[in-house]
Amino acid sequence: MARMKFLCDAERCIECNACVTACKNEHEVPWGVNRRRVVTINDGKPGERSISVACMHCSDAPCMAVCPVDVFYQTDQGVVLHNKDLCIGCGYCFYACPFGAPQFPQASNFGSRGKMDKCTFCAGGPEKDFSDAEFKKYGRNRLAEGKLPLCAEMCSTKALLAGDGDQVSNIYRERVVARGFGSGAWGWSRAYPGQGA
Amino acid sequence: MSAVARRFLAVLPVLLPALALATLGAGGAGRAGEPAGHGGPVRSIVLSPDGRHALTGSFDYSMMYWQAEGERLTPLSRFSDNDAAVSAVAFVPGSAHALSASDDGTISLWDLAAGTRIARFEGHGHKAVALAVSADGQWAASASWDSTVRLWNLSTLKAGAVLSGHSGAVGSLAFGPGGNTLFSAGHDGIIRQWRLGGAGADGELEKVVYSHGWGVNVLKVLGNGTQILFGGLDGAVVVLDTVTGKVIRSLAGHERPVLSMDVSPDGTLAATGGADGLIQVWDTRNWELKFKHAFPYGPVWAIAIAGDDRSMFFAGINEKVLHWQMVPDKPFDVTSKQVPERFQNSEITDPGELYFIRTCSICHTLAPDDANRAGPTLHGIFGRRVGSLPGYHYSATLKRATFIWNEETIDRLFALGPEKFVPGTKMPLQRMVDAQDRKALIEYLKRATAEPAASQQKDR
Repeated sequence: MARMKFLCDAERCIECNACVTACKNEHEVPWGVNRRRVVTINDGKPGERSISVACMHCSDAPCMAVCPVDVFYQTDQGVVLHNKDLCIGCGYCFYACPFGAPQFPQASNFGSRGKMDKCTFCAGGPEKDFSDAEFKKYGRNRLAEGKLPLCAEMCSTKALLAGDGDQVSNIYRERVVARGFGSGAWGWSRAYPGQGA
Repeated sequence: MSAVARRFLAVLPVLLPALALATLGAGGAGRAGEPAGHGGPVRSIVLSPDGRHALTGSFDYSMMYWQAEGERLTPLSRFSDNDAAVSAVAFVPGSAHALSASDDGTISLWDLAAGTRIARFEGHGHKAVALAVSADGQWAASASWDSTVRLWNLSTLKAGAVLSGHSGAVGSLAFGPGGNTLFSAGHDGIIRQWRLGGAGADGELEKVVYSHGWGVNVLKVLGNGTQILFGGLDGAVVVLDTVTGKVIRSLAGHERPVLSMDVSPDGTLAATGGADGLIQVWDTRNWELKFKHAFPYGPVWAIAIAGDDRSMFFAGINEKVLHWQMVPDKPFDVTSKQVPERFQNSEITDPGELYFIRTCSICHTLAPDDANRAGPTLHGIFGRRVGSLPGYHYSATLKRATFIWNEETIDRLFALGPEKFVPGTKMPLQRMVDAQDRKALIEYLKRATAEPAASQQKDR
């Protein structure tokens, strides 16, 4: 069984934000929530690098360890999903995620406890595949359609790779052989320790 | 095997043999008799400068005030008139006052002796998650997920400066000595130093002290303000020189994000707690690791070192405040410590009961005792007028409402969502779009909240 992983090649990201837009559009993510974002370091200076960041679907996800009500689960493909019906909006996962993936929409009532939202690797959620409930809560289930996450599919420079971890790391290794290591596959070793890219 | 069991087993192998724990405030008697203990996960613990009292903040919408004596915390009073979870608490030096920060973005100033609220400060646009108070007790600073730090004058009860600059949630704060410098850090990974002018009424960025790359969850100012200790989302624990911005020491951090930090009153010990369950205690004079223990039940959300440097109070993933005696160590018997989490029960087949256990029970009980949870007990809910249970701090909107809870109103509550059914309620977003699911929950509640059944639901 494939183990799904993201890889962002900081040598290739041109900060076009197509991944961000693709994600927002594909899943009809509401205003104020960004499941994916592009972070630029040393902006305008020598050594400028951009990286596309979202939930990395970590091998041993810290969010799962800190959730007091156990909303997270990992699919047999390694995708970390959560059940919004169970989420109590405590925000604890926000403090545990190195990648800043959990998003909390500002609730309209003054308790500010909106349900957590995050990247699903385009794999929907616990609702029935392709159901309205699944789309409204989690977005499109492209994996069930046999497709990969749209953010990576749309990436014009193929900086963002998504798919079977072995294949993704093989592609990256070939690049490294051809061009040198460069600034690396940001976040890979933290998300998938011991699985060198 | 349940996820939680897997989680426990994953950390058990690293459990060191010497951990003496005492469990305090495990729910218990409900609101009518207030204090007793917290009814939801504890997120913050602080000890008073003299070490004789403690404050705790919890998901149960309350702050608790305790008398600390040895390994015992005796509850003195409970401040539950909040509209959201309490993420941070702080004593105000030189007074009998305390502060709490809530998930609704408000900061409350409390009179600990009278048990009353002195002021509620409003301004943050998202969760308020961290507090700092100047040494003279004149100014408080609060940090929020809205990316700002706000200052509050505790004498005039007026708002002070709003410090903007972080590009993400701000999670940690500390005043420098003298009170005219403030340090903040957050998810943008940047530690900022602010210069406060006009006695806190104005503030401006003095400098970026350090850019960590990964987000920073916790920080403390050490000694005379020349050093900062911070903990990151990458598990790093780093000592910084605040003047040069250089790293003095990178300590052996945590495998997972650092969630909590404390410095002993005399400044000689610093402790960190991580999402990996590890508690590490360093000697700040040479940064040697003095104590290291693995808490077997998951993340360590709050830490407070006792004044004698021999023990600490800390909180894990639930409503319990625990005591760890560092000197001398006491053995900790893992097998005798059950940590049943009612939310993680996967053996229930009744869908209504399962929904209640997994979702509703974090805030509600079914028995007459509400166990100090965030919401009122559901015991006898059918036929009860909304907002009518004595002793519970309802929102204004529920106090004004006149409808009766019955099958129809409960069904509409979950069909529309609380924020639409009774706008202004403290109840968080919660919808059940499937009518069959709502029916199953209502059927279960009818059985479980009736008198004979409810008496057997002590744990719910």
